[in-house]
Amino acid sequence: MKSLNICTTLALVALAIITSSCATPSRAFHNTDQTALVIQSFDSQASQMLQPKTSARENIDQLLTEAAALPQHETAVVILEDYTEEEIGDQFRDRGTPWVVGLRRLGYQHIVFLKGLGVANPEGLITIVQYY
Amino acid sequence: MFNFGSGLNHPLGSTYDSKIMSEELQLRIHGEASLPTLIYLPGLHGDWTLIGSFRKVIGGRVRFIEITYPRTLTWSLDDYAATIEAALAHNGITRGWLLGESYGSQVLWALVGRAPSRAAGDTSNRNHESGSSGASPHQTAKEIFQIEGVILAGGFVKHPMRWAVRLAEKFTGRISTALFVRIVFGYAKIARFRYRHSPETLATIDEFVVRRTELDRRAAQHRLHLMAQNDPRPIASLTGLPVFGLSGILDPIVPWPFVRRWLRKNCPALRDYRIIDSADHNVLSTAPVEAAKQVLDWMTRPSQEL
Repeated sequence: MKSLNICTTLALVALAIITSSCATPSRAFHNTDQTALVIQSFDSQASQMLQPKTSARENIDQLLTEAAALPQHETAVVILEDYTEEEIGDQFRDRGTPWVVGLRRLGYQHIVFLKGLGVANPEGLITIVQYY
Repeated sequence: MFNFGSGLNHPLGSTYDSKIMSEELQLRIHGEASLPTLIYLPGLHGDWTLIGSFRKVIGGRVRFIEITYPRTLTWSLDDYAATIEAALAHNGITRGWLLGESYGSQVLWALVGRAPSRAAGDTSNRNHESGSSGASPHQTAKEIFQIEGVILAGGFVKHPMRWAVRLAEKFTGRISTALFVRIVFGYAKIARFRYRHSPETLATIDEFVVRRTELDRRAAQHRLHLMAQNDPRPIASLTGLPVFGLSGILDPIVPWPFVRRWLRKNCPALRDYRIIDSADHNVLSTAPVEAAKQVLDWMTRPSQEL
């Protein structure tokens, strides 16, 4: 009887953990839009287009001009390298705002910002913020 | 609708959805129905993102109704007015004061101009549509909305510099992405400094930035076009409603000396025009305490003084 109670308790705890982990949205990014524009932003000046085609390092104006010529303008993913804030503050506003404004202007409805780890693949990177 | 909350910083992983605020007229109600009603008609930006501090100061003393316009490229000012009337009626709001901020003053005059036809029950050319906000152009308001008074905040009758409005309309249509980014980014930086003493406004500047989409730019251009075409001087001259004006002393966008002079000369219903020293064009946001105090004073004056 006692072992049954322990088993029941453990099962309930496991269920609670599973339920709560399912309910909490993961912050790890998973790209579901294969036409997405992916940009790696190194600082407030230099950035590089990674998808759908690779560009040289260029400034935001040049990159937005290239992005304007792309056939799809649905999802844009911006990887912010050397981003250190624990919550969205001045650093994000200084680096992220020009991207938000420029990409919105080009018609991107879904914009995701990721915390960079020096890799070119956005899969699994931590989401800073996303806008729909 | 996305909401950045009251804090200035937000947790990582946040998600914000602006779609719901795109295509329909939105209306938010703050305060009890027993309080006097004040309806805020926003300026060219078309939404409630810059009114947070004023709303907070005036909160608890009025029922504050705030509006976000749809990003329409086709509506006339009369469409705006008809839709607002319908939305108010849909929410059971039958009377109140109008607070028109900058471009919102043009919507305000359109509402004032519709008052006689509404009073006469003129609904002959209106459809009976219903939208999710309860508001579509020319939807019939079930009850006649009664305007108790009107307040211009950085507002005007006919814009004193129409050539500048037309120039702004052309400029807004031809602006490059690079320049657009610099203007909005620069404005956001200046706004954070400008509203540093208005935490509620500061908290919504991110929201203000995110809402500046391409469609939003085109909607603003359309509003500039309406503004350049509109001449509500006959309405302002003939209205019997109490009219008040409020401006910031530094207002290069709507120079108040011209507005005040015209109103004093041609609008017998003008009761008062106040200039606030510490404010600029966005008088409700840059001097929320003084502006709210003044607006309350006007709204609560005994009717015989109005």
